[in-house]
Amino acid sequence: MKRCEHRTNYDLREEALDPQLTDHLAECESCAQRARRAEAFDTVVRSAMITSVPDDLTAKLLALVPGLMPPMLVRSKHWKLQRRAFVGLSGFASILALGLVIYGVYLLANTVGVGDWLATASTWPGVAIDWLYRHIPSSRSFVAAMIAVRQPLQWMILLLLIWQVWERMPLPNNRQTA
Amino acid sequence: MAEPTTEILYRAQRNDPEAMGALIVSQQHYIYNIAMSVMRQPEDAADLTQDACIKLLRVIGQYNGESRFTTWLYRLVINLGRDELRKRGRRAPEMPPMTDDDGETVDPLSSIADDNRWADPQEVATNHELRAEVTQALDKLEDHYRLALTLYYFDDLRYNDIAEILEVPLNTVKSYIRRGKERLALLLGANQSEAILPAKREPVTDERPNRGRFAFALGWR
Repeated sequence: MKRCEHRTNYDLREEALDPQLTDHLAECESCAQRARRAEAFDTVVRSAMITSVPDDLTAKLLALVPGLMPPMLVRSKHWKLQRRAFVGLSGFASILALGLVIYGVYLLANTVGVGDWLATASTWPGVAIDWLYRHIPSSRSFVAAMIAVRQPLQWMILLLLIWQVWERMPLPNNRQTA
Repeated sequence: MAEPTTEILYRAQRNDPEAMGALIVSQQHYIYNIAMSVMRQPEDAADLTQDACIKLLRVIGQYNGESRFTTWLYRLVINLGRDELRKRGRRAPEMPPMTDDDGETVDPLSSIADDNRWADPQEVATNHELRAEVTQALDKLEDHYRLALTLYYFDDLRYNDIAEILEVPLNTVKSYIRRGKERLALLLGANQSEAILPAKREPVTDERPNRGRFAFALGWR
């Protein structure tokens, strides 16, 4: 590429292009092309050089200022208790809502006659067990054992579910204050 | 514009917490980027940013307005970073003496002349591949060039400010920026060669630079 005397002026300029240089770029295709590439180079390098400040750094820096405690850093002394109370109440409200929905469905089913069909269907497990006892008498002990562990198993599954939900709940980030 | 208002400075010097907070919020981005340039690791840069802010709050009363506030602050950050690197036994990014630009015509940009990706300033802004290549090359750039270029690419810093921050003569700053760009383009060329021919990889040195496609396209001779 042909060297041009204006090039150094272009590279080391601090302000917008002066009129003399602008005129020259309008006339000299080689310099104009180079100016476009220089601008592209600067654009990419500038954007690659700028790093975003980490999310939590601002809070840490503001915490260094004596007498300045932004609201986002203030956390109640009883936040753990409050969090647990919130989770407990939310769980209770969910169970209540579920109960109401089930009751609503039950009422609706009775209204449209599904209740009779459900009553019949609810006898089917007993019929099936009678059939089993008659044809495989030894199954009595197995069914008895299953019935004995049914209730503890239900409670265990419920506890496991609650524990899993509790574990998976995201904790609020701890903010460093110094 | 990074330069804080006189009022903010006045209030911060009189320990007004809100003014101090505003000052820190307005400067954190610049402090962190300079810290990244000196320390290179995000965690170290965050630590240096915190140390610089602690020091700023302690010595802001000593700022007498002789230079721009940002110049004074960035010099404080760089000096703290150098101290920290020395404490760790790492070499601080000193500015080695450099002769002024000689008569030799070295054009840092002619090596991208035949690479069409650099032809349009609007398009490169969204070219992620190119940006990734530049980031990789910046990681390999020598500390003193990287520091000079970091300050150079801050929109509101003039050569005089950079010279004051780095405590070097004005012509040396110009040389650093020019040669930093050359070096960066050389490294971009080297990266390109590595990607194409990994077996023929050669170390890039100051004496005999490996002139890859970028350097060739920039036309360095």
